[in-house]
Amino acid sequence: MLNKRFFKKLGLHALLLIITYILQHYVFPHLPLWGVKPLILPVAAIGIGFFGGSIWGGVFGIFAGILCDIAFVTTPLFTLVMPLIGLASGLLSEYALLRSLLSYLITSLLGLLVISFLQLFPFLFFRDVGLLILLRVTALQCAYSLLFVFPLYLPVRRLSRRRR
Amino acid sequence: MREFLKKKGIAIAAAALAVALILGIATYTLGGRSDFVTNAVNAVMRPVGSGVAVIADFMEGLYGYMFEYDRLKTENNDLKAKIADMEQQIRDSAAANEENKRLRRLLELREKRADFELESAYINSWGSSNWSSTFTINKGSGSGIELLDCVITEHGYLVGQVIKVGPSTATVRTIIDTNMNAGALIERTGISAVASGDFEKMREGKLKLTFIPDGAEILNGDTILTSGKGESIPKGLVVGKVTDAGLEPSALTQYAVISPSAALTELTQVFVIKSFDIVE
Repeated sequence: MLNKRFFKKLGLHALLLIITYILQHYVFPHLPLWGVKPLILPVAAIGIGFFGGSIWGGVFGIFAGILCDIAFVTTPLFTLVMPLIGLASGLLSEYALLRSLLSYLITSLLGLLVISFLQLFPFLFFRDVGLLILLRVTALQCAYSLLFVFPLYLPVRRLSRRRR
Repeated sequence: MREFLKKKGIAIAAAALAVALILGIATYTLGGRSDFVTNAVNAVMRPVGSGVAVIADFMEGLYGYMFEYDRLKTENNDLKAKIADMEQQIRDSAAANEENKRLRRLLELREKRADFELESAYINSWGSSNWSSTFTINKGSGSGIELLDCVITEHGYLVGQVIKVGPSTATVRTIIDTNMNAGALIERTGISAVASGDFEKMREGKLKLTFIPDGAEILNGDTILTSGKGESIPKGLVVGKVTDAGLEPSALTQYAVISPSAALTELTQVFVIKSFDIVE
């Protein structure tokens, strides 16, 4: 009666979500690089969308967004944005890009730039903060986060293979 | 055999007696030193004895390996477990020692500020954002913590303010966060200003002193205290020390950079002020 394969896939996605959340919230805040912390959950959500399709990307994005808002104390920015980014990355791979590591890197960069812009937006328009420092943090944040594309590439690709 | 004993027995007995006598006399006359027979036997037997000793040692080792191995392995494991226990005890006692020191310092603070109702809490996790400075503590509304409660160290140094409260956890915004604003005063002169988070300074672990009145004198090393304005932060808490002072880009107003007295990156335990007397 129950679709075992579906529930197995669901369980594996949940496992990936939990592992990336633990890394995001408990491990990497203590391991900054160039003075910044990485965005791991968004990279995972983009990967799920990119290799697994827009629906899975959107659904994974909802939960990843909720967890991001807990980790970043930014309710409800990520809960709103992450499903859209997951969905968009899925659409990109379905219509515009080949499903490869390079494409995953490019899609992740685009997603991270969107997130970073939303993060710097209030500083740029409502506070007297120099553009240069904001761009510097954005660039470093994106660069550090993109490193996680490599360890995430195989797990998210394997998850998408199971679905076929 | 009988024939042989009859013929030679007496001769053999006599020879044996003679040898015994000679040996007895030799032992007596040598005064405790070994006689030549003993020496000869020892000389012949020494390498044999050494060889036997080596074999005996080897056999003993083999016996030990065969029959004592399990016992030694168990003993080794027991000892390892004991060492691990003892190391854990040392770590626990070091942590307990640190907590004890913090609580002693807190006791001194309590004597000075009897009006503070404090709640001790541990930091669960630090915020992952590069755009804010927050952390989560392991106490929440269940422990009487409320929104905008002030958070300090055991020394009475300002750490931040509670910005989110759950039943068993609370999120604290540190003093270097860009959304932080606290009424402040320069201890040396008593001049009022505002201690505010600044994005650029936050990345250096510092904050700014702004809204400084014209002509106010600020020196490096000046201590900045909370002024108590706003009723959510008590008066007299140490914010930090001035490390740099200058003019804003507009060149119209002064600012000062404050290095927080609370070592934010090293915090493990903090104290939430649940209530205090408001001094006018």
